[in-house]
Amino acid sequence: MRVVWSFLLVVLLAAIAFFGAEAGGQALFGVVFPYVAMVVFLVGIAARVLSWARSTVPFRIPTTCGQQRSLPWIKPAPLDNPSTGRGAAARVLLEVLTFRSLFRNTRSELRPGGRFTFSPDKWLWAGALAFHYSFLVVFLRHYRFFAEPVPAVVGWIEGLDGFFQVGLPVVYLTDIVLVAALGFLLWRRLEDARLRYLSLHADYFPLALLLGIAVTGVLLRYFVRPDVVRVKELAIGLVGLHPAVPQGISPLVFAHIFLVTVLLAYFPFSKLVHMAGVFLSPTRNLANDNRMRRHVNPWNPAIVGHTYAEWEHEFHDKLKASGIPLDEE
Amino acid sequence: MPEKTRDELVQIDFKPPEREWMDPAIDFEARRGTWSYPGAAKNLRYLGFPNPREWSPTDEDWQLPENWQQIIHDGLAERLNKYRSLKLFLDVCVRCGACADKCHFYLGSGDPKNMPVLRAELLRSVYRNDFTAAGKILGRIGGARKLTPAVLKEWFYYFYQCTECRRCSVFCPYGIDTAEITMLARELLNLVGLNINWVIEPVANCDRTGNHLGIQPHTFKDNIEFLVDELEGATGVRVAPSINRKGAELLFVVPSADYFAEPGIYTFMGYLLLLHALGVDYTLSAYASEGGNFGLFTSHDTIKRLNYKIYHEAKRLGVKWILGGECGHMWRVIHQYMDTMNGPADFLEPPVSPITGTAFTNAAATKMVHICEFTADLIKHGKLRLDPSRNDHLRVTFHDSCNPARAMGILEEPRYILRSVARNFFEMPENTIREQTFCCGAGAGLGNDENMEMRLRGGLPRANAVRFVHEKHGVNRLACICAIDRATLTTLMEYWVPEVDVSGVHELVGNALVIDGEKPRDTDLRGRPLAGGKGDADA
Amino acid sequence: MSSLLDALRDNRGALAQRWAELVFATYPAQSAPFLSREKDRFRNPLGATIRDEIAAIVDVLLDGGGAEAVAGPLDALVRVRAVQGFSPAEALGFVFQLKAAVAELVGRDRAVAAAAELLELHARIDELALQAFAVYVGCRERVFELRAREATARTYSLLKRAGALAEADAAEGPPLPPGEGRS
Repeated sequence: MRVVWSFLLVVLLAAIAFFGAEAGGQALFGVVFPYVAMVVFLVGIAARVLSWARSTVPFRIPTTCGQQRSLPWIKPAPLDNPSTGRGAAARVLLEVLTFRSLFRNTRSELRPGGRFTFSPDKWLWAGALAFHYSFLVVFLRHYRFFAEPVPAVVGWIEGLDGFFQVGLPVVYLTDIVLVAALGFLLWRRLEDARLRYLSLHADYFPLALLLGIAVTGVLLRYFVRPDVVRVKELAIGLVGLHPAVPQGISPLVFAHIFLVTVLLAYFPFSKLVHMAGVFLSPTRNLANDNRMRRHVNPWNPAIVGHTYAEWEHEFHDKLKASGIPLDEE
Repeated sequence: MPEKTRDELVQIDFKPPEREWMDPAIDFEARRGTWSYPGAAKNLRYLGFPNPREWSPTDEDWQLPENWQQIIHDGLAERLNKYRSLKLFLDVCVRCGACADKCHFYLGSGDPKNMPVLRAELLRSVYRNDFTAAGKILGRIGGARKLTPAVLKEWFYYFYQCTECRRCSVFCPYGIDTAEITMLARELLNLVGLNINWVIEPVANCDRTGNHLGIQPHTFKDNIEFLVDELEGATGVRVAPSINRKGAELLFVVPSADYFAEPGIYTFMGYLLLLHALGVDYTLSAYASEGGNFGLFTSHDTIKRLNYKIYHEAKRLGVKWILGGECGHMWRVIHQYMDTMNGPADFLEPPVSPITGTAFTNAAATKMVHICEFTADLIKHGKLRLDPSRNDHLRVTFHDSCNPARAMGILEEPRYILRSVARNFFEMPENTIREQTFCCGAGAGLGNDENMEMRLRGGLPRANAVRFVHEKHGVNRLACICAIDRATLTTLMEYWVPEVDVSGVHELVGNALVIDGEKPRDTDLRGRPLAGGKGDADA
Repeated sequence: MSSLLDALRDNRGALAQRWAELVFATYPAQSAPFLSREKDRFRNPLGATIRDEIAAIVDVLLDGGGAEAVAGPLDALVRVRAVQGFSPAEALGFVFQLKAAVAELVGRDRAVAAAAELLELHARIDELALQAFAVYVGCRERVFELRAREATARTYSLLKRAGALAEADAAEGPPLPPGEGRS
């Protein structure tokens, strides 16, 4: 079972960091690995994006999902079939921010009496959106650790996130949503026989890793409650390039950090690069102005088809006999 | 072999063994009816394509070049640099499964490798193995596999089992387009001589004579004249299309099935009537006599090679701009490739309708206009005398053809025309039309006889929606704007919903069009009686 | 005392469902759950056909309808199975799976107790199988006809012009010439 291996691996990674830190490896897990991972992440992503950028886009191949702009009295679909660069940018932006394509899923149902209804089939969309946004919020909330004074916006986010004021410390909504959404995405992969069939280690491992990060994070915030001041000292040291490892930080913090470290280092080599790739997709980010404007293929091969002269030469007699006009007699 | 009891017989083989998808084993013998015959050596030789030979997928040895793995590896490396689409689509898929139930072949067969994600994964796994660090280090654990003969055979099977319809691309959060993957995978297969005759023969014919069937120019002309006779018989109107005439205002290019095949010929008659009624100054070409372009199902170079003729001929004849007939993949090529490949068309003028004066600004660069754009504009300006009651014997629905819908977006023009020329128009359910339209199951060169079972399976989702409107609204006519559709949907309907006929949009225009000098019409262009024994109503 | 048929009639939904499940299990294991669960008729035409037509066949069978009543649903179901790459035995085996579904539903003991009735039901199912066989053969013949017909349609205008379609014109069928119907 691929999924089991992925979870075992994540548990193993967390254990290595936990016991490694306890055995005096705080500097390794708290400073060296994070720096290495950050470099790998930045260089890796940049290299990946550059490698995509180096590949040419010879043809405009937008997938058109609505009416084209043609005659003035026919209403075009500017977002689903953009005819301008601005429209295409809006299309990509909406794709990134709202996962519009996933939102397209509908389910039709034949109701008694032959009536037809279309209801949304949005589970994947909702699960994916919930995960990505809660992850973003959790990510932003962590700025509390990296900046002094804490930016006001981080405070607002925390305020909103903890709006319901449940528990002490206040339970953040996104913590619950994040774990639930990841759980749902994992459950979906396991429950659907088709998805189970096509899922790879590379599909389970990121889910396991993210769940590992979320669970260690939740443990830290609500149960272990390490000395936040020292953790912040570590974090500010890291971003200020004056790394220092304060003593007395719970080893679980290092497990949490190490899993994030692994995620960063793994990111550029995995399917997670979709985060950057989505902006470059030629079926989404090009305007459908194919016939309006000329587009140039930088490596357009010099191919000449069967020319008219060759054709006329081959069929000359038959053309002449049937009275089709000729270029040369 | 001991006799099996009846119970054993029905129990047996039902549950396929749980196999990892990465271990392929296609039994071509057992799967007859779901693959196409390979390209004949003579066609490959004519085209100068690699590895011409006589072979069959059922052979153990496919007679590949000795270094075939290297050829494909190098070919893939080259294309990764040339096509950002390919590289990106191979990198970013997260296998979310949104596309899984969007492919008509999957829906009709249940074969999991017809899920678009797995179809792409067949190539992606080899890409990982050859080109990514993770794949090289982790091997199979990293989702990578070597390109073995079995894997190659599986490529042949499944990449010639995709109709490049792009429906999956609509639902993918990253816009991953299996058509693009299939096109490039087929390019790779072509490098080692793996292609299908139903594609390669039309390509060779089209290159040499100008049309898919390989009909020579004098026969082309005779055939057009024959159709003119038939049309006169049906309407009393004698139209006079010219061929290869220099100085005409428009060059008119249609798919060859429109003047050879049933029921395309009735659509062709519709075009001719329309252009005649308006007195449009146009010419057909016996040289550029094929709008279709099976290069699209072969390689980008082949697209360019075949498409070359259209601009070349337009320039030679000195026309102002080009009008194109109803055809699906033809319009993908014209809309998304022609100008880039064979332009600039600076010897043509920006297209303007000679009848209404409307400038087709959306075709300003390519200078080729879809006949549905042309006709919709005419109707809007009241330039056509139409008697829609002449289509009262038909209850019409519209099938959006894949390429015009998802590679162009010509959705409203044909509907506007249909609503103007027919009074009984009904839409199929919304998740089966427009950008979500279901493929006929036989595009991309798969519309051949030997692949019939796969076509009927793949066409089930479309036929199922037609059956629905047939039962609910009595629909008996499926209109479309694609020559492949006209041929293959006809077969599909005969199997699944025999009460429904297939036609082009302009056949219905031809039925409804009132022309000076026509005889009282008591039949449609097919010679079928009009509703209520009605003759020439309002003319 | 309720009879076997009565018992089945009371559970016709369950019987149809069980039978359909057995049929779904004849498809690839990865797809069977989707076919069975996805209720959208257009997203899952295959599953919907199997489910709907099986329910209709069960109704006819239990309510004593004849061959005519069952023809429609049987045709729709066999038409699909006939082009899905099954061997003939596999394609039609679904009919006999109804026996298994019945046996499961009413239990072996009970079935034995109602032996006479069971025999009668089995006889009906056997008749159904024969009827399905006829449909299947018809579908396969149709596939071959379509192949031949397409070859004609592709070059229709050429053949017509050459006078090669004289006989096809006289017969009914798609190559319906424009001139026909004109007097």
